[in-house]
Amino acid sequence: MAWGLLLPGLGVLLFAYAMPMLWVLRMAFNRFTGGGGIEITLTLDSFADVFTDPYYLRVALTTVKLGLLVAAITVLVAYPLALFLVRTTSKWRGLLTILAIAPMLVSSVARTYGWMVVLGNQGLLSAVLTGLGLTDTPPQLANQFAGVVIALVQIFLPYAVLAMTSGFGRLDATLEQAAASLGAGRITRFLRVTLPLTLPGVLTGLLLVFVLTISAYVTPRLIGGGRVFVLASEIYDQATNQLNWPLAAALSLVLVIVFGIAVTVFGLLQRRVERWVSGR
Amino acid sequence: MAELRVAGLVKRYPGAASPAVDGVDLTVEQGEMLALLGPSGCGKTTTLRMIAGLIEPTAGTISVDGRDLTRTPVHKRGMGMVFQSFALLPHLTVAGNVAFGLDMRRLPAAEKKKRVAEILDRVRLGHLAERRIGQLSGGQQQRVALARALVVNPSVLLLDEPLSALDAQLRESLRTEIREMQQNAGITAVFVTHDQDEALSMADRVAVMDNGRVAQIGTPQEIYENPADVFVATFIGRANLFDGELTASGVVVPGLGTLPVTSDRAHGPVTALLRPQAVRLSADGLPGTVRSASYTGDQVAYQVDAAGHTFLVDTVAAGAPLTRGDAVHLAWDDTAVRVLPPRDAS
Repeated sequence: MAWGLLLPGLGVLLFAYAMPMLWVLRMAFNRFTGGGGIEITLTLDSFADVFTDPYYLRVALTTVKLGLLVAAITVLVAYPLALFLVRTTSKWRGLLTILAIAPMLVSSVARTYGWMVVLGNQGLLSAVLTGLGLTDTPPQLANQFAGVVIALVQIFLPYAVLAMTSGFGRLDATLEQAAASLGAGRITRFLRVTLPLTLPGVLTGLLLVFVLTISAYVTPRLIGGGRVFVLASEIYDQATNQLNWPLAAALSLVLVIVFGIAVTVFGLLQRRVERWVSGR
Repeated sequence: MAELRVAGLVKRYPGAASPAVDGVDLTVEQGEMLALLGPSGCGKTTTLRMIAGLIEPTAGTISVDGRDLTRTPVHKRGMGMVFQSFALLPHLTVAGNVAFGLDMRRLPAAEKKKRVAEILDRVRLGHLAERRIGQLSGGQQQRVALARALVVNPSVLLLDEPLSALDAQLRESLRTEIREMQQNAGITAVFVTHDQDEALSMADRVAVMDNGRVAQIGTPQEIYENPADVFVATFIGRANLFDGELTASGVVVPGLGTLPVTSDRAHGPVTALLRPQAVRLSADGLPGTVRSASYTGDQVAYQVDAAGHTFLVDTVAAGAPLTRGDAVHLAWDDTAVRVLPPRDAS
């Protein structure tokens, strides 16, 4: 009876996820014959390309590096914000929470274009910096790794805040008060009480932003301006520009494997941390 | 090991109609246990939290041994606190929790270990030192919280409803345990409770609070036998109250006649108090009829209609209790009658 509850979700997953994934898996073993031609067969040619060409290794490493960096910076920026929102007793708390996650209402495409306006070579940031006479050679952020990081951090910040506020459930003001009554100052209280008890939320935030970043396509593509290559944009390029579907499929599987590793590693960490802070 | 003095303590929250705490003065002697007793919202917890330094007072001072601590932050007050929810740190073991305060005082490892082991033995939890907090029962958590607060030798021990999260049987045994620990350590203590039994049985003195003020402060016996007003009389124990007029010959109560008591109160409207235990069922006296009887094994609590009033009468159970409709006579010693300010004024 209870299993029946799974049916709708299972159905959607089957048609929208499992079947396309199986199709991608099958496609990866076909042979590309150039000019959009695909020979239905069973070959490891595409995987050979992916794993032997240093270019793809670099792309994969850039993707993981971008994921880790964006996840780390986003969580660092989101942490105080989330902590404030969880702790505040202000009557404005609801409004402040909505404000913090409001950017999610704007499409990431629109926000990416916004960042292009700010970071571009003739953009707002360089105009301000040169206008103030601070520099004659404004930092080149557009078409750069750094620009992609800045834009992604802003775009994923609301997700991190949301994940962390819901993950800070174990935080209880009386625990910090108890630590204070035992002689712990502000910094000690943070390090020995607040930080450990918020670690589960931090891990959730890290995983969420990492996964969102390595699958992000629009922002690296637009702000990277054809100079920052990540797996997602490479897959798009192979599939639509080169029409090399077997290679696109093989790259997709690599991305899935990166996902799998990330989820497993974070899952294990999460379980240990959860056990630690739950007191059991 | 200290004398705690609270003077003119006020807490006014912005936007609130009346202050949460409205001028509280308390002196707790060295080694004394004071209970702050009152209904919820009377300001007892706010008072305790101001003493702890967790809430900033609007006015007034808090001092220990003459040292003004009003502006000292919590972590520098050197007081120990036991929270209603125990507030044990879930990511630390029992020993880790107890050692926390000693860590803050940078005690050498060997000394720390010794003191943690000592105090855990005293609360009979030595065998559970390495347990996680989530693996303990409520009573065990309570004892860890107590050990954690006491191990640092605090100047004052503060307990915020320390037993209210536990079930009734456990509460009884922990009352004795907390009291013994406090007396053995000779520590000055303040505890907050809404439970009058707890306050009367554990404390050296009780401060009954109402509407942000101390209504009365005294030993449990003083509070019970000579309550200052109707609020205290009804909050502590049960009471027969008669509104009447104080005259030279006693309190004239409509329907009941004159209760011949002397009082130095001004003549005029008063309320007379007669505790249910002070009323006896006897062969002669005021005639009445039993309205209800509730038998609790060692005691029978009667409600008796007499002279237009309903009397509460507590008697020691002996033989079969009387039943509804039985005719009885009520008697009491005139010295048991207390004269309180009239109900409306209190």
